[in-house]
Amino acid sequence: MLVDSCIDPDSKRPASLTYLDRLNVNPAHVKAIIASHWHDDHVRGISQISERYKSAEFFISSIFNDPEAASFLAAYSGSSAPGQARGTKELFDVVKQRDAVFPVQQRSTIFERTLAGRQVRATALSPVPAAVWQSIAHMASYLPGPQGGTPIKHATELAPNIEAVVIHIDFGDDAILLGADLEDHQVHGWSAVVADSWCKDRRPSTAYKVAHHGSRTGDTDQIWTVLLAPDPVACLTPFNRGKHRLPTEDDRTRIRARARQSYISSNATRKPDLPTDQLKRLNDIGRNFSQVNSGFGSVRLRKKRGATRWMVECFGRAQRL
Amino acid sequence: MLKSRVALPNVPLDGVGAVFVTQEPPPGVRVAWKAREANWSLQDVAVNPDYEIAKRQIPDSPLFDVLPPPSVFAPSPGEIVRSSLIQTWEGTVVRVNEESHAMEVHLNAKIGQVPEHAGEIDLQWVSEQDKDLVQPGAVFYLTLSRRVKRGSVENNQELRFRRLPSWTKRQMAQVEQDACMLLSKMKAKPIAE
Repeated sequence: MLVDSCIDPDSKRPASLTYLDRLNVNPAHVKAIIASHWHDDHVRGISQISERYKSAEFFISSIFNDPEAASFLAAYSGSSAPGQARGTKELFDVVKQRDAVFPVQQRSTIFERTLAGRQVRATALSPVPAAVWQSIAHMASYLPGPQGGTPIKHATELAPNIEAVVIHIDFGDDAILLGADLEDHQVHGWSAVVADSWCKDRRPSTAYKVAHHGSRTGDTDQIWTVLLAPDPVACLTPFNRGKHRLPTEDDRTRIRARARQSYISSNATRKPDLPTDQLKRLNDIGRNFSQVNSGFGSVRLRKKRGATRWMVECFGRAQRL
Repeated sequence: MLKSRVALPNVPLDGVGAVFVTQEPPPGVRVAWKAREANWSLQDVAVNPDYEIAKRQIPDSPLFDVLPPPSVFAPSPGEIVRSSLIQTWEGTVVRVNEESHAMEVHLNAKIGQVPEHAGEIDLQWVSEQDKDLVQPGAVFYLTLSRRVKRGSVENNQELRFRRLPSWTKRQMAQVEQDACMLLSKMKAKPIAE
């Protein structure tokens, strides 16, 4: 099962393709691909993954199972305004190339099968129904009128992120939680997830992909007390957009206090990688220039059947938080 | 060599800039090189690498403007000017911060293998005519150049916003058709208990 996608800067291919190829995984063994949401940093290259693993089922957030949301995806697919299409183009291409895709929301089953005698079940904990409607309303605001003539606008991301698909995978004797980019909100976000009786009953997870790059807005106490087992292994990816850099030092401290084993997929420098004269000229007219993607790495968690601890390995720029 | 003059579709002219086309554009694609300063020589224009960038970057567009008469753009007789392009960035506005009077931006270099960068640019560098375009998602072009004139070095920077076109009826019809296609492929599965 593959969740989201990013491009390996060395191979220029989706990182998960490179990884599975190195392991000689038979493409037919990939059963499910999930796009947690449409933001560029989560779906780069996912249409290539979809193309490669044709027999896998493809899941997207149920916010797109709506006429206005589908129009949004079509309008920003790149055929009309190429400069305004990024993640939306990836998802559009996936849906176009497939016979069927499966929208998921809170309580949807993504994968359910008995593997090596154990019942394995992957389910979605979000988006919650109220968030679906909020997200559709946001996307509808970027749709032009039926007669045309309105300016093409850049579709900004809805904040807080309430549309992302959080995934819980139950292995029969253990579970992991993939937090995507879901942020907290009393009605639409994490608080609504942990308040749901069905979500509360999921097996507590011993490994957690920390939501929203470790930000304070993607966190709430109940994630750790309701959905996670005590002292889980926590992994996260950084985010860097100008002065907005995640995780902050406060975020790191907060996460380490919750999970003694915490890892980040890249802890590389964010210093600008520019010739001196270019950087100087940029600093003449602005400030805080930094690389968006300054390093690449991955954290691998493995656990043998019956083992009590996760085996953690860091590759590339990945390291302890 | 100079056969026609057109404006870059994404860089509206303000009366001091000009576009020199050094050859007839091929069918379907109009190519252009913009000489921002009136006194750039045609030779500078012809050898400038941004010409090639423009050739690759500028798609066919209905937004080309016809320029004023060429006499406006003639270089001063006998003046020796050398100009060199340092970098051209295609930028996207991420957020506008009115308090600090700056815009947070993403920058993609158009020359060389330069990683994507982010940062803040002060709004004072945005021209008056582009100020209404400064909003999240707006696309701009930042050109940094250096000019040597009579032995002195002068740094130039130009920041111009792209005016996005409007949705056309034909595009809207395509959107509707594509949306129907997308919806027809959504196969919702039952929700658990």
